[in-house]
Amino acid sequence: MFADPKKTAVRRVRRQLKASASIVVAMIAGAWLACKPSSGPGPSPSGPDARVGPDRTGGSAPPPDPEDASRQDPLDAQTDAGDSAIVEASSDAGADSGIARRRTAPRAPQVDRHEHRNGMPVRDNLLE
Amino acid sequence: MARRVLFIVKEIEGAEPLGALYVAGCLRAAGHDVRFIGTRGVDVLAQVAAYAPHVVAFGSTTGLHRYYLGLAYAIKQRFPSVITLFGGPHPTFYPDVIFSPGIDVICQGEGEDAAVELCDALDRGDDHRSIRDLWVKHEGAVYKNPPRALRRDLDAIPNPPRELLYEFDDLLRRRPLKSFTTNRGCPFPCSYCFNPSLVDHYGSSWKKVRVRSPERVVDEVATVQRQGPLDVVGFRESIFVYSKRWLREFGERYRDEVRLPYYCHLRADMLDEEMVELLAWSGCHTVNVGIETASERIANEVLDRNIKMDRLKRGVRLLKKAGIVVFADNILGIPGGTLEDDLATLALNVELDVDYAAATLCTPYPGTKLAEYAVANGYFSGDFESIHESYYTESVLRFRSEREKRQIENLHKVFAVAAALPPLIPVWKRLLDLPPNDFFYAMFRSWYLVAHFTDVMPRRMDLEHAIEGLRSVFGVFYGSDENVFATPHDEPALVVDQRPGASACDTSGTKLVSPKRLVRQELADVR
Repeated sequence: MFADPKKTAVRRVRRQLKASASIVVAMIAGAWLACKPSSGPGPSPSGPDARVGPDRTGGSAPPPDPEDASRQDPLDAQTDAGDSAIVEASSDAGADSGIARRRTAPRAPQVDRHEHRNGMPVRDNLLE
Repeated sequence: MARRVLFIVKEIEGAEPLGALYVAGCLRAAGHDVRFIGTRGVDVLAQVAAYAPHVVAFGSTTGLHRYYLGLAYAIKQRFPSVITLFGGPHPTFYPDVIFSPGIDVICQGEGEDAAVELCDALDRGDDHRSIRDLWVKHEGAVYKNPPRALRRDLDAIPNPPRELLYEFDDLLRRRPLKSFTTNRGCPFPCSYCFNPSLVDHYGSSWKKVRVRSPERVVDEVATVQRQGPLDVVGFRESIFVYSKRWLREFGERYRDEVRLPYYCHLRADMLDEEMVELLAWSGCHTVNVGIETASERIANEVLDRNIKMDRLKRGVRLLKKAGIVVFADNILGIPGGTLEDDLATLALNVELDVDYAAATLCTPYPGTKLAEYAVANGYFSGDFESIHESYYTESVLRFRSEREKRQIENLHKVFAVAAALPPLIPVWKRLLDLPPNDFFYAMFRSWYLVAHFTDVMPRRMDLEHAIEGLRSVFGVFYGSDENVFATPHDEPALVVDQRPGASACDTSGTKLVSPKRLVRQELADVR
């Protein structure tokens, strides 16, 4: 059962070297971030820049199509008694094409100090 | 017709949301259609419009709940007929969140059966106000229902349908580290954990651990291994194993069918030579143990761990001797503790030569005994809305001085790297008086990233992951989450308490219970 003590010692030395390297990276990162203009704490549900409703956005939610103004939203056409024909007609379309793949939209990198100071250090994380 | 259920997960890029996935698996087995989406770089309202779900579901811890309440309210305003279902730890231990106007239903505890029963009732047009585990808001009234008996046979629950995550983003399938569970429940009374609170909710049956069979666990891991890249297996239950016989059978199958390094959580004081030998033999690469604090007094009087420090140390030393990587959990800023106590905890991690000394800032989550203790002794105001999204940012507790609070918060950021390089500890001590700064946060991320990918859970990292990880150290992230809506204020409602022992259903229409009054009453009870 016992591991080779030399292996444990080697692992410790490697750990210390890696920790030293991470300190250097952190110093560079910290200096770089400190030189960035100070951005606000980021949108927060309790902050002043939180969106107050689905129609007052930064432009990300699509506005209703005026040509479809006369058509009911299939979801609002639902009743407690059961699904409307509109919903049933759209269900197949919903199942096939409802959720767009996130990866089709480009993800622009940006500095986010709020995220940097919040949440797990690495997203791919098992330790929650 | 089957219901369409949309799960919205804010941190879908993180560890798999196993609780939500188990619920999703049961919904699919019952014939309902289920989708998952994330929120970063996604227009959630547009996704809801496209999929047209009947039910939108969220699972949340305290702190993160504010985000989901705002989002749920925005969804209800735009799509009034959608039923919003809120599960996870926050509504389980703080069910008064039902009074938030965006929430129609909350689920307490394990949600598999309740979610299926809800969707089946909605499908048939049946009354859904009396489903156990759920509190339901309907036409201005909140119907409170008791918990149901725990499912004993975990093998009967379908495996989590991970492909639902991959349909949303294939990058999640390519992640070489995936998580699994082997059991539910915990017999230990640790005050900072949700487990004792689930004993309050379910009764003592929660303490009787329910275990999946080794065959079932290994079969699931092997199936996931065949579906996509898998380098490291992570077991996420509170305590991975209680029985050597189970571990032996698991190890035989796991070595035969999977043969990958795995990671698990254990109590160090439970370990003996035979158990450690079985762990190493079966493929265990890393064990997460809770050291939490060096003070046996704090460990037992405040954290209720019922632990002896010498047994804890012995267990960690056995793991090190066996060549198993030790990932130690520590809690800083414990109510009644001091900076000196936290520095002693750091010294203990150095003494035990742990491979990674993780630290969190003590957070008094609602429903925990720790929160009751903190409020009763003046360390916490009782304002659960002040709790941050994560316990890596700031403490919400009171200390001897603001200076000590800042020092402990700074110590938290450099704790892991300080334990890895003990000669620099005097330097870090002198820096603890600095204000919160980008260097400390970068240090926290930087060492965590390096240690995890190379030591704790070594795995292949593709270039995209590596760049993303490095960028995160520099505060650069992909995409942004534009789905941040203001958290609405609670609205009073008539309460119909259908739980055993409650007063008869008050349907007179004259009793309005303000949620603020409910919260005040609970705090008064604690004091």
